[in-house]
Amino acid sequence: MTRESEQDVDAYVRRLLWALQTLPHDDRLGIASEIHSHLSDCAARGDKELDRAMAKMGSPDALARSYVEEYELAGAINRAAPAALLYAILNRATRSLAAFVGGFAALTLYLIALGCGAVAIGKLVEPGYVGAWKNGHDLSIGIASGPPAGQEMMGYGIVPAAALIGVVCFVVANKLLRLIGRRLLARTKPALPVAG
Amino acid sequence: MDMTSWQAQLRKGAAELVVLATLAKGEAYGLQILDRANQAGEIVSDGALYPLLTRLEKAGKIVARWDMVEGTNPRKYYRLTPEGEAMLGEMRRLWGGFRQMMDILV
Repeated sequence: MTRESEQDVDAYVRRLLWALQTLPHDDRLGIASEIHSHLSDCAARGDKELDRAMAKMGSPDALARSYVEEYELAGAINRAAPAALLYAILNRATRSLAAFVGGFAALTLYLIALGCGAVAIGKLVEPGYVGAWKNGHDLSIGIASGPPAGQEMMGYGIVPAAALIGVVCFVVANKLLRLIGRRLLARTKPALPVAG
Repeated sequence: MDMTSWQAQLRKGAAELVVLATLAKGEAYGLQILDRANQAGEIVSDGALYPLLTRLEKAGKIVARWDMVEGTNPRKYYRLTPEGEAMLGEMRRLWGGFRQMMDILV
């Protein structure tokens, strides 16, 4: 390997290491060592082969992004962390229809769950302002900002009902995120970004 | 229709099977896998191979070990796990059926 090739390889790996900052230290070093080894092997075959390998590897930032996405998804799925998983999926929303639709569906379900939780707790704290009121043909359910008009329909029955709906929405959102996460994780990026 | 994109999708689907089939021939490091996988035409690119190997390793389909011999380039060798062999067998079976179906249709 020529001195110039060696410098090119080192510069590529340095940029890759920098771009992998969010990964665990040992994993970063492992990835950088493997890519360094690969490029060094290619350089040993000649400058042309090193140029080919670097072009096919893509920019250090793009390569790092592929790794980071794998880690984010795999890590969030393994840790069962809904917030991390939602973040990882929404991060891909601009590039994957499944991530876009599923991510926002899950987000909506979480917001509904949050709202239901607020209703269940609110009824216990401020019973007069939380409930389901019928006023003529109008039905309003939830937390009222002022003294509500109409007849209250559910009483304290709204507490278990809201809690049940909230739990169901939360569980469904979690399952949906995990399903999308596994599907996205199972996908490989195109083997060749541009076909020859 | 964008033929480049279509061709890329075909290769995308084949890459995992090709890498597993390559490792079924024996333990190998990245560049060896790439050479074996692309001997009949380019299926897997350098940039796609390593994240794919990471995913397969995390999924328990392959295991890796570093070979560090002083004075030589350190290399990470991969080999199939029993789980990876089972997955390869199933993928080969599905691929055979898919190919037969396409031969009839196209």
